[in-house]
Amino acid sequence: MFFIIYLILNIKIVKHLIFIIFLLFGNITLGVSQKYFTKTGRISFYSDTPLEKIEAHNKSSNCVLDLSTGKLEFGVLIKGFQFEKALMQEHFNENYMESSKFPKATFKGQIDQFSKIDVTKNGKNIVKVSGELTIHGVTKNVSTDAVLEVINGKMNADAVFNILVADYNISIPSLVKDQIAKSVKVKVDTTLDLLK
Amino acid sequence: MKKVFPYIFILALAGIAIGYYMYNKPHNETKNTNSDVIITPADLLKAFEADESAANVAYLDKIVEVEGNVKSINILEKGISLSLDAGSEMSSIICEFESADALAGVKTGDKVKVKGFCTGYLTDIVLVRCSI
Repeated sequence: MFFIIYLILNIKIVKHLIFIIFLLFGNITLGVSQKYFTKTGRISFYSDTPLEKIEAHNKSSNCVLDLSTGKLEFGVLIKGFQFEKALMQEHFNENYMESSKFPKATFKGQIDQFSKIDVTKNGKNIVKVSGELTIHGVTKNVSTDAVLEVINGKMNADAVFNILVADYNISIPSLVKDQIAKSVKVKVDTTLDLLK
Repeated sequence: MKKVFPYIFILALAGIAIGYYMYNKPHNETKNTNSDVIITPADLLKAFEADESAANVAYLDKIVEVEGNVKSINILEKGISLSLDAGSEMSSIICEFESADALAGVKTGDKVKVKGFCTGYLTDIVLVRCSI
């Protein structure tokens, strides 16, 4: 009789223990893999010269931010950039970016002192991001200031920086060299959701 | 010599006109254009997952027509996009539309037929300048 009661109690304790372990373990894995991401990030670039203003926009760039490390990754499809003029888009893809050979541009970087940011609290944080930017098959180190704004569990990640066309082995024919800026402004404008 | 001038003038005018037309030529539209490829969302995703560079050669810049169920609709700063279910939790076919009106009346779960220019594969396959 006592033996049976003892057994039942024991099973209950074990069940509780399993539950507690699961809870702890579950929380730990959740903490490690928590990420912010988007598939609809907006990346634009602007080439301003006295002769011509050119801009193009991409609405479907990927971005992943790892909350435990502050590692940040972007991916964007070159052919997804939309220009106002079809001819510019054609030249951009076929002559300058060779987008059939190099369909993607990527950025892999790190947010400086990310651990100091409280991502559970609403607010604006100005951070420094540095990492490797790959365009046209050429990888260069870049760094820029960025704004991370937490709004009710979402995060806006915005940045503006300039890149030199010549850095990425993109040759511009001399005929149009006055129409295309040597330094192109890149604007990143994304809203990240928590990945579940 | 005097006789040649009018012809040179006409040629020059024609040159300017052609140049102006080329500079302002419209984007290729998908609406009234025949599709280059008709494929299911799942098969398109499989093709890119199996061999991305081969799939790039086969599909990039082509007008791809897919029919599937709407997984989500994303309202963007300019335009709108929808994700088509391709039988995978992480990946889908993202179809971008230039104007938000293009998807009037379309809801999540609806079955739709979309065609657009294939731009490649990130975690999803992206079609741009779509029509429905």
